[in-house]
Amino acid sequence: MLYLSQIIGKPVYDASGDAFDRVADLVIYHGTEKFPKITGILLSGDRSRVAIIPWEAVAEFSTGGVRLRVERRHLTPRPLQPDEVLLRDNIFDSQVVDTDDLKVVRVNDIELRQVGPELRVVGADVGTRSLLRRLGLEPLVAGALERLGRPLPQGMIPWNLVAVLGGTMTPLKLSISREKLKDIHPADLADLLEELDRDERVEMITALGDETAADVLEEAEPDIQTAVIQELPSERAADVLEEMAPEEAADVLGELPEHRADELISLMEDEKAEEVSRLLEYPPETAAGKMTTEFIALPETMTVEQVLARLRETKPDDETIYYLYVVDVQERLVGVLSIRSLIVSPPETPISQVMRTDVFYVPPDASVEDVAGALVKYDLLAVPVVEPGGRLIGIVTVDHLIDILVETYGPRKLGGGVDLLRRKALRESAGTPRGADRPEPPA
Amino acid sequence: MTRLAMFFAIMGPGIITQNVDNDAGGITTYSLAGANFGYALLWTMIPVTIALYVIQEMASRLGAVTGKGLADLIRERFGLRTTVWVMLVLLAADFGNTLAEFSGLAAGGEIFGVSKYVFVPIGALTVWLLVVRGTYRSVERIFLGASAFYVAYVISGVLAKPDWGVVLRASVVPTFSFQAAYLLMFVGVIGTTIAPWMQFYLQSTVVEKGITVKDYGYTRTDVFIGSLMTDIVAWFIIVACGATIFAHHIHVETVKDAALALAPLAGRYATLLFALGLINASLFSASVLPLATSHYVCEALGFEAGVDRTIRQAPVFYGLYIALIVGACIIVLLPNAPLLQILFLSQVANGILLPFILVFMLLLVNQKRLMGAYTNSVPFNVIAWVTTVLMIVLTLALVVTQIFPFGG
Repeated sequence: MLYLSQIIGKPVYDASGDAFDRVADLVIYHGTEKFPKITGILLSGDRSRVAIIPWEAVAEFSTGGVRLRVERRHLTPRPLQPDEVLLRDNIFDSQVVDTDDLKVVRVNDIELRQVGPELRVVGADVGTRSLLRRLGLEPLVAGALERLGRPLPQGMIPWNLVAVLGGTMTPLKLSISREKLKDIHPADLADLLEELDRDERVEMITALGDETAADVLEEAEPDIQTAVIQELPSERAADVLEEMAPEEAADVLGELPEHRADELISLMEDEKAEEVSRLLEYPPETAAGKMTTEFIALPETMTVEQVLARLRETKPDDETIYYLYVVDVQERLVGVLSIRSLIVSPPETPISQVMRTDVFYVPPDASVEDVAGALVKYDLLAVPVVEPGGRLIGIVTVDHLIDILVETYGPRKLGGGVDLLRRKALRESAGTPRGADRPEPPA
Repeated sequence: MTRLAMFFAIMGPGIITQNVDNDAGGITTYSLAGANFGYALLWTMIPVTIALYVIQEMASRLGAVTGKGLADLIRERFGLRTTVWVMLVLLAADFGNTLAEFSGLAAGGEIFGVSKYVFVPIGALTVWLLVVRGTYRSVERIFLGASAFYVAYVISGVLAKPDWGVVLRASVVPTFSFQAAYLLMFVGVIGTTIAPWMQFYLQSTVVEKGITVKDYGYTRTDVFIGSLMTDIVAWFIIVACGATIFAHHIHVETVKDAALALAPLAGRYATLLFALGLINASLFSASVLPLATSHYVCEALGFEAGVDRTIRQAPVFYGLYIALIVGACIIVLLPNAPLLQILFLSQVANGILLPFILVFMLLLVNQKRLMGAYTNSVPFNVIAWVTTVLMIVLTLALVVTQIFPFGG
């Protein structure tokens, strides 16, 4: 096993055996390969850090140093290519994402392995053991712990499960990050987002599609939401906000400085922009401030069959399908239709005959606590928000309300941890035990 | 108008940092400086304010440009060994500071006649609950509001009826002495005003607030106002104690003595305000410091951190946090614990450790690769390096005078 920390600073010999410089850094090509190969060496003598010695010039490589095939004066250094990354400068001692344990970790060391003439990166070392090795304390502490019968774990993450974020965002780099992050649940990505640096966050959100990025942002804590939107380029920020539920987007915009919020709204699609601006006008701590405008309102003249046809066509979300609100021509709320009555009624029945008319609703200025109370008392999944004139303007779902209450009344005591364990357990019971998708590094 | 609104939106990191900075250690050090040396140290306030602003501005610029905390940057740029040393320095200084906060609580309680054996454990428990229950954020504003108590020191200073002519002269005319006690006080005053932890704290708050280079101008104003506020309060504390305690040749050993000595000279309210200010400052800083320290150490070394984790998920983080709080509590509660020496020496330790941190900040802030067009200007470099070198020289002088006392 070869570690990056054992190679940095080691002498570089040319063909005549002259130790003319030292290793400052190793270059990898950060492409689609699972275990990227080393493509060059940066020497300590090169103060401007521009001349890379190509790996082809290397004859021999060990912890003792690097021996080149050619003489010093025959070396043909080249500049750093796009998608080439400096291991020590960009990855060593920096944060990366462990996409298996879903954690942000700091790279204490990088494991390399010789495969034929090539040297490849096989893993990132993150455990206490690598920390101790770097400090020269590994033999001492690891030995002592082994005698106590509690050996130190290795703490190596195979490179294919490591996502390196931050740095220059080339199209290739973004597509690799997207590939590595694609199977992670948005809620888990949101937790990761909170621990990342600014550049790393921007790369994560840029790598994900607009829709996923919006899902992730919706799950993030409010201060992270605003920070991310502030950090993204305006165009991109507006695209992500468009994909978010209008009430979530309004919440984020409400936290931004006014001129920035105005700028972003002006960049959004007209329809979304209008909706969000309207939501922004309601005081934040009221039913109207917390409601979503994504709900189903059906004209009272429809029949059961027409409603079913429309639902098949529009495919509404889980959150909204439980309650089908019925409105008159002036958009005033007149009743609510259950899925059950839709299914059991003959197709040609007008919905005005099967809907319930004793609908519980709240006024736009009802407090969040009152809305919560109503949802609990009447066992509802959502409550409609109705203006004094009777017009239905939105609904507050129990889902959204729980988020609000958790924010108000305390931190997530159960943390990401419990969720994570459960999700991992689910994955494992589904037949992909931890580490089973870890291919063996090349021998 | 919008500019003003922008400023209020971004304001905070600088002013909060400075308010945490006027903690128990600070109040004690300034009081003793006034009580024991009169106005002799008053002149340091102007150069210290300039140095404080320059250094704090560097910290916030590092945060705004890189989007990373100071501990992270040190780890990424200087490697693991250096980071371990810097973190040990920070832990040592902050253990001292935490001790100082709890001694401040003990002293504040005693002024009201409450035993430290009652007051300190209650204080520690309050801090623990605030932080672990996650209510700190909402209480922060209360603490910040209570910082208005610092006006108490300004009032105390005025109530003490100093001879303003003498005071103003002493503020601009430098005097110096090579007495060990004076040097010790000198290092203490600088160490408490420009503390190592502040640089870490300010930089992370700037990062957490998502402040970028675009909005950076406002942060600079915020830092400037904060630096000015800290030192105006410090100046008045020195004046208050100098005009009363020093002028009447009363010998005081502790901040409690100082507060009580104010009563007959500046009125009973001066004492009460002094005590309330001390308690607020101690609680405020005790809630911030140990937590922040544990965070930096864990993040730099790659251990999980955060109060939203369980103890099993983040054992190192909680271990450090508990060790800082419980350790400090136990030492303060030892019978006959020399509270004053603890308070004061912790500030001297800050002063001694400061140059180590400053050197790294200066190296970072001058890296083109990291800061691009935002590296230090020449005057900034000069002031910061002079401060660093001066602290090293003063510390060495201090060590020498401790070994070979002369003139005193």
